[in-house]
Amino acid sequence: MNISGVLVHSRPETSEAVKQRLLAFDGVEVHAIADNGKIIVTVEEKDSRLMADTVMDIQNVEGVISAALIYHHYEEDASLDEPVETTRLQNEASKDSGLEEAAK
Amino acid sequence: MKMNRREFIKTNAIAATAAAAGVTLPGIKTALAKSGDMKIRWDKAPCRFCGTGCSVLVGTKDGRVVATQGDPDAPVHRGLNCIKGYFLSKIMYGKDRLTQPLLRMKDGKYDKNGDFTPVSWDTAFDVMAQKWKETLKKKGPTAVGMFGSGQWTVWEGYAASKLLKAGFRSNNLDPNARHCMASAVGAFMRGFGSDEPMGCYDDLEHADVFVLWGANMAEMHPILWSRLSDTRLTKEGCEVHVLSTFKNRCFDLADNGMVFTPQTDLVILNYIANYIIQNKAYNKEFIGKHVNFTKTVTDIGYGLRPEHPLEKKAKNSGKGKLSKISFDEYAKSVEKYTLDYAAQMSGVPKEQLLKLAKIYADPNKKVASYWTMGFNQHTRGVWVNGLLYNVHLLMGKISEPGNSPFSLTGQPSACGTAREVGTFSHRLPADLVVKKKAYRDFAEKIWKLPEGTIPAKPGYHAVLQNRMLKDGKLNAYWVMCNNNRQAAANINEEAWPGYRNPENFIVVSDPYPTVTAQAADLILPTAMWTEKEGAYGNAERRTQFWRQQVAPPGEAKSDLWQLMEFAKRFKVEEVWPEELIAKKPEYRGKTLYDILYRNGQVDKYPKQTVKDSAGNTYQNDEMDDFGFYVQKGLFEEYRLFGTEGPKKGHNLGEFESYHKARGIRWPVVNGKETLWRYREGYDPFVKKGAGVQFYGKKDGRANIIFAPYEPPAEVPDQEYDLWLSTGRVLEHWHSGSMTRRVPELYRAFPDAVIFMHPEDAKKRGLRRGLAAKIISRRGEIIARVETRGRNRPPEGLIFVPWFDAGRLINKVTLDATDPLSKETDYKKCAVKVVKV
Repeated sequence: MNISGVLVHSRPETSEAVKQRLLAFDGVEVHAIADNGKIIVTVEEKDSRLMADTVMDIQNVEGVISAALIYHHYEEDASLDEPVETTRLQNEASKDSGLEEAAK
Repeated sequence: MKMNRREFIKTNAIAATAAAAGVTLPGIKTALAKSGDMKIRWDKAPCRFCGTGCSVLVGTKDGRVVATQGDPDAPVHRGLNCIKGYFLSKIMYGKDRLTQPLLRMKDGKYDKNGDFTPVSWDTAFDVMAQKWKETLKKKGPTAVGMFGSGQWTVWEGYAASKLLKAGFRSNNLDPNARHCMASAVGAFMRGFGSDEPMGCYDDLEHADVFVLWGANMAEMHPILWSRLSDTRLTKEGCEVHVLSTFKNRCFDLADNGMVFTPQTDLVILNYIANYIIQNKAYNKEFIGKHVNFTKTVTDIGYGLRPEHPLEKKAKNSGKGKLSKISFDEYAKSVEKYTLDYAAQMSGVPKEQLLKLAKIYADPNKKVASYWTMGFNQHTRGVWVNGLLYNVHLLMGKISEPGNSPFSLTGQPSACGTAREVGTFSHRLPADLVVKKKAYRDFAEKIWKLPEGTIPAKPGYHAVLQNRMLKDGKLNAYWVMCNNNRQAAANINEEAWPGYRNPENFIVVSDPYPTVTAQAADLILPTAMWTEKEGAYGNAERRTQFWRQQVAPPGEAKSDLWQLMEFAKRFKVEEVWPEELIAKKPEYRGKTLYDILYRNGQVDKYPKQTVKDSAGNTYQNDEMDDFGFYVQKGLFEEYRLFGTEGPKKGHNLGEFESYHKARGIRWPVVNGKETLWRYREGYDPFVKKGAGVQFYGKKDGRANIIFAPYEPPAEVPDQEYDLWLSTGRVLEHWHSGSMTRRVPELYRAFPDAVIFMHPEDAKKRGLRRGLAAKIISRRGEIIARVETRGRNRPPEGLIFVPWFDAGRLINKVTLDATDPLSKETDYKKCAVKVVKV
């Protein structure tokens, strides 16, 4: 299973229309539209290939000014229904590398 | 809090995306799992592709890079990823990675017409050294040369510069950055006496108005485009103006999108200057204190071969002399560039030009201007860069937050390696040039060389290298970290004959069998990106380091290793004349490796374990092979050019500081970076009380340089009736040698197409999807027609991207260059398109 977070910029007056076009793709969900035209999108797709294609296609949707990938996660399906214990928000990668000392 | 893994991951995806957008979502609780069980080691590295310089987090597991992700704490992109960056981890794992040296052989011996045969590094270097020595003996240093890269790490470029300019005593070293940045460099030096932008990416939030001049940021710099879009959508009154010779994706956001006739940017910019003067909008105080008015010599030709009729006709072929003029004389020079004239020449409606002129002339609007190859790949590239500075300087809209003429770069280290290290045929580190004795003396002092080691005459630049290969004057040639048989213009007539000239021995170092590698006599397999410790410098003067994350495949070795190992093959007596050695007799009997890299400076730092602050350890193959911390030694020696050199304001920080930070912008003084140059309060080199000081120039004043409109080298006529512009697309980076090996990116844009106006297609009996032949006076290729895509050219112009090794558009292009910068104009030549 692949899950991605994508930030889409659109003109505010077209955001609603862009949302509808995005929803036409399998696995795409729109979670929020900000007043300034920013759209919070996730893509969920079993197949890595299709996942990549959907993310590529979003770039070319009419009204999409820019689409930036923020988050991507892949793992085998088996573990997806397992419960997890969560902690506070922290960037996983930063935490592991000890990079936070360098953050400005 | 309890949820299952799917919900949990999705929540994280939403939370991270919302955070990047600056949006708070009620009900979305930010949460992360304990990630200890992933066994992925994370570390930072700048992206391998464009000049933006995004910092990515590189995840390594079992000796393989398995993931990359945007780094939310990186100031350049704040966690955003473009589509190429998303697939970054796959570029090292193409199926056809080169893993051993390959030499053309027949009957067990080197033969130029033989087949590529695997050999050991020893054999490869034996044959190569023999060719170099023969050439040096027969023809001297001017017959050896190297074509380098804006993708080299800083220390690779620096090591190469030492090997060529000091070791072999040849200035025939030029980077592929000649094809992309040379015009920008020329204009920086003429205007400000110091290379690289005064502003930085922070201007993307500070500006009120953005103007793009020949830069398709939406596709070529998508992350900077995201930041720009964000400002446009959130800041009251923000405007975006876009100028291009065809409609591209930036026009979707544009408030004022202008398609102009190729080359008439020269007219439009002079019109804006004229408008500012006619309306007395200029900043009198600023130009009185900080600006000199000059004009440049005109009728300078097109950088073609001297026997070309256009060169013979030009009165001042290749000349760039500036002469001082008064403000009134300058005003008079731009007077003829009226709104009517500009509209008539450019084809842009008057009201749109006026709208553009007005925003520059408004003292209350902060304007950031961005440009890339539209300006630089231009037979008047230095001129047109300068004309834009004229506009900003007239208004004093420069060197402060939001007011920013900004030259974007295309390669990850065009600035850091090509420009700052000075791997050009006329340069030395930190803006020094070989022509000036005092600068050569300084470099020789730092490098501990006898006086007179570095030759004074500039060597062959990129375009000249291909011509000299063909003419048999450059015979031992090493191409490293670039793909010039795909990238250089007019390859049918210039590059190919030179590579296959029986007098020449061509070596190509690359991770993949590119078209350039396939044209070589010897191919050397190369370690790439995080298979070595590296440093890049991006467009905003930000220097970024990374540690080696994984081992390269097979026998592949870094460019740095190759350069230093090759230097071991030369005794100084074999390359330097006796009178030079006599000045430094202690060098007698030593190798170039000893003299250049074991000089007490480069080998100063002993072998050690590379560790991050979390205690993770990293390999460093070069340190293991040479027995000292090579990268650190090279960098610390290189840094002396900035801290002790004759040119002010090029200071870099200490080696270790870069491993800790996510890049630091130079000049770095007392560990502090500089965001805006030449402005008091931001730049420590500006004299107290001066306010603004362009200290690259002796009198602290920048040059406004008048340059007129002059026509392009080749214009469509009855037979070749279309303009051809080449360039890139979002999915591929440059020649595609990396991105075309990522299956997802390949699939998204597999082949180059002909972007064409539907009417132009119709007239030729073509329609979308049909194959057509593009023919110029120099060559032809076949590609399919695209009339509906993201690029929408006007009638009379086609756009063809150059990433496709199977359809080399540079067989068609013309090798006309800017006579001052020697950069090729890839945006303008005449072609016809016919049905196949």
